[in-house]
Amino acid sequence: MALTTWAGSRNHEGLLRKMRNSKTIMRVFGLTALLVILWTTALCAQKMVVPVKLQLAILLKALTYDRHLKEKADGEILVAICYHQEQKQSVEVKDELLEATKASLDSIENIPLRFTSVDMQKDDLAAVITRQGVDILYVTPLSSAVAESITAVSREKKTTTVTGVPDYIKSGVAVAIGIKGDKPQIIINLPAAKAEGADFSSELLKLAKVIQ
Amino acid sequence: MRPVHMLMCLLCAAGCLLFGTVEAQTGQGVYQSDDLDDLMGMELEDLLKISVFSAARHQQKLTDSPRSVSVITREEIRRRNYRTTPEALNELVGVLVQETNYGGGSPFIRGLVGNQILILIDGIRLNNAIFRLGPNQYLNTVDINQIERIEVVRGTGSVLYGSDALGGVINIVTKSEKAGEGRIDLQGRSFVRYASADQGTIGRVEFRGSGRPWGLIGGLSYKKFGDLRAGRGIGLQTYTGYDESDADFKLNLRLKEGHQVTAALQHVRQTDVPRTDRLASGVNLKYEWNPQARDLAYAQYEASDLGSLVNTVRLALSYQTQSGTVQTILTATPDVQDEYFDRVNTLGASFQLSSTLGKRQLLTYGVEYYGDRIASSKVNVDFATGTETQAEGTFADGSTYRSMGAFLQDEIQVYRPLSLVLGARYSRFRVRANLDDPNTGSLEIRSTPHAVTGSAYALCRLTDKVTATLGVAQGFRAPDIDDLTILGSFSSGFEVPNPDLTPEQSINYEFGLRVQHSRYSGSVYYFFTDIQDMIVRGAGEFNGLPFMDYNGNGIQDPGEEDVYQRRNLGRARIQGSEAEGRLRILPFLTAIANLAWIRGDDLAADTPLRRMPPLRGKLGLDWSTTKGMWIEVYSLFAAKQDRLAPGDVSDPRIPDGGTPGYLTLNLRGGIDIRPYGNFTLGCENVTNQAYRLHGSGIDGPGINLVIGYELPVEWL
Repeated sequence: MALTTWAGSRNHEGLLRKMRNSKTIMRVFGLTALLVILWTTALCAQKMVVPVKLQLAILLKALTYDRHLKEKADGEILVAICYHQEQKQSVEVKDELLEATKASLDSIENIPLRFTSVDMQKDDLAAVITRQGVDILYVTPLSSAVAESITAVSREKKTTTVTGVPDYIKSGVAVAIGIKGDKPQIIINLPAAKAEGADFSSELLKLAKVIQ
Repeated sequence: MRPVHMLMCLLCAAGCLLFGTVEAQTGQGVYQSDDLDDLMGMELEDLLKISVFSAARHQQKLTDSPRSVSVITREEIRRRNYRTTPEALNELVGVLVQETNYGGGSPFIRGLVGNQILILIDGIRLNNAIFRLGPNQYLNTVDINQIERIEVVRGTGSVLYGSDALGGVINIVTKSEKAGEGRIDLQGRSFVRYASADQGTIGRVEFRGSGRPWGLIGGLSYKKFGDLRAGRGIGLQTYTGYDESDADFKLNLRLKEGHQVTAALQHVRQTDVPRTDRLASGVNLKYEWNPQARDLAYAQYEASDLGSLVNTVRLALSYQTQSGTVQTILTATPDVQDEYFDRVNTLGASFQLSSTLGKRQLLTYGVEYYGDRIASSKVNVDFATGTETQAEGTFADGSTYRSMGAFLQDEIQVYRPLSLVLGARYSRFRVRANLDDPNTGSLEIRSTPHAVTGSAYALCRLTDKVTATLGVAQGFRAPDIDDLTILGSFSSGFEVPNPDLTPEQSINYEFGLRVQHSRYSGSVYYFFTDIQDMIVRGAGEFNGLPFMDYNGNGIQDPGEEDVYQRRNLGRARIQGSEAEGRLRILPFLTAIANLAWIRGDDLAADTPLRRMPPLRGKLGLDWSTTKGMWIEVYSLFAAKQDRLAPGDVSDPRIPDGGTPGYLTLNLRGGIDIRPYGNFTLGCENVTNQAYRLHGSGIDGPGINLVIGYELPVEWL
């Protein structure tokens, strides 16, 4: 009713007075806040829920359960961190990962381990995978569309994708770290993992939430 | 309840409410950084147990607990090839495992032992109403081969776990197989262990399997130990060997995502277990448990991720039977054998929930109930006449002991470097027993003690690597059947029950510093425990008189003994310090060390407290490669303990003048050769040193070659 009254008013000051008097301003604020919360919630769904170092440790441990990992690695595991130079959180996560790993993380299961980064804005992902021999793609917080473009390449190149953004499982990323209760949870998109050439043992599948 | 206790509980409860309000207002969180090297050193399953308090990158490792906690992992148990569960604790900082006999093993934590230490198996109390005050053998009724890990919390844990948790809590977590996701997996494992000092063999077969949506694990163990050969100058110790057989089974069923039911069975039976100190001293010709058994069955329902109000739910129902037959023949009466039979059936139920309040609080709360029913009898066998006579058992036959408790704990992240853990608990007990003695007639014991306890711990991250902890906590031990139903003559008089006994109460203060770095880690704790209302034997009354008035004339005549009762008269103070550290010298080489000092005083008697452990510790080097090969060289050492209580001086287990100090040198190593199995080889006490852990009835093994071989089998 109040909105109809405003629309019918041609007196600007009168309109403001009516708004104040009828508490409409509170309703507008409330509606705006609700929209902001919903929008923020939607954004958060695209974000990581587990600290970077913890998710990296879990992801690397989980990858050792891939029966094809040694064969694919061919002497060295190269992890490429996919990020977007224009997206602040993506760059922060990339930097944090590179900083954390440069100190001492140089092997896993006795296989040398190396990290590199790929800027999704300017680099050609397929070319980087082929040229450098990338085995694992780590997907930082990006947009779903970019995540889907990464998984399209990963399936073609048989490169396993991992991420700390649980929502990217829907975009076809093979392994994600989400949260269950107050603890981290491994989420595995089994068809995606198979399409990327990974063969995870049942030991890992038992520990994970598996999307068939 | 004392005013200070009441005040502390009120403060804890007020704290919970206050910080609940603050949380609701600010909604801010804390991020605690972690070291990637440390995380990479953990097993995947352990990484998945790290709490992540919110979706805003807040996390807390379980090791960030403000409590002083030590954990023995499954990998350590496998590598170190321990003979028994109690012996596995002996290398932990601040823990001394006293062995009255080779089939025993009672841990001292912060100077306390027996029913002042709480033992849990998968969260279910092993302690029951007949646990006695001194060292006992019950921890050795848990098969080391079925254990996944052992968590030892030093200091009181009464708020979460109730009675008996004065000195510490030992939580034994048994092996489990998670429900599978896809195809059926079936695996097996066989394990054998041989040790030269006792000519002992241990064998175990284990199977595990999983499919969708089930997982199961089970095993059978058999152990046969001969008499133990001690170090130089002592040699073979007779009356030490015994046999044991064990069986266990656990089934996990996933009802749906986040909902799981677990059913488990455990059985332990030991035979011909001699009590060495009584036999070696010549007091008894025979003193052995034959058999001693424990059976546990429990079912548990766990649910997680239930919604915004409740995060997790755990409902457990358990039934445990602990029984033992002790056969004794005194040297003075070689024709008479006393056969004591005691059995405790315990029904347990617990309901526990946890809820996160916003981003900064984790509430753990619940209720629990345990009901013990005791069967106790005695048979006197006269070999000369061939007659058997029934007599009163050690405890009141048919007595019951029920305990109920409700608890609340709130873990609060106050602001960036500071978190608090506040807790409160109310416990109530109901004891019913009927006693009969020709000197007193029938006595009906009715007692309903209760206790209110609180605790407050703070953890402050001083830097990324250094953490300080500060805590104050109340503990209690409610009087049990052993305290409430003693009736009869002893060397100094006649003891009658005291139904007005109240719980022993303690206040524990502790301060700790921890450092955690990828190359080194360590901790130092200082604690101070004040125990009040300790249950001790003191002058008492029966029918209003301080003596047994057998002829009813109201005057103490010759032969009419003084009356004694258990009373809350004792007071003690214990303080000590515990330090431990690890330093990675080279990528594959780590130095490890720990040291613990403790001092206890009986304030009522103005003497040292009984059985206080000496200064003791461990020093070692661990060399481990990533190719599954490892070697550990270590020394266990203790200073002489000559600060003795009067009870220690008269204890035949403690040598005249005190227990001498010692230093043993030990080696162990192993190699994992897939798929042929895992080999371990150890040489304990290389220098064949003669030594005794303070208060033990036996000496430690002399030079001891320990060989283990584990063969895994994958069927499907």
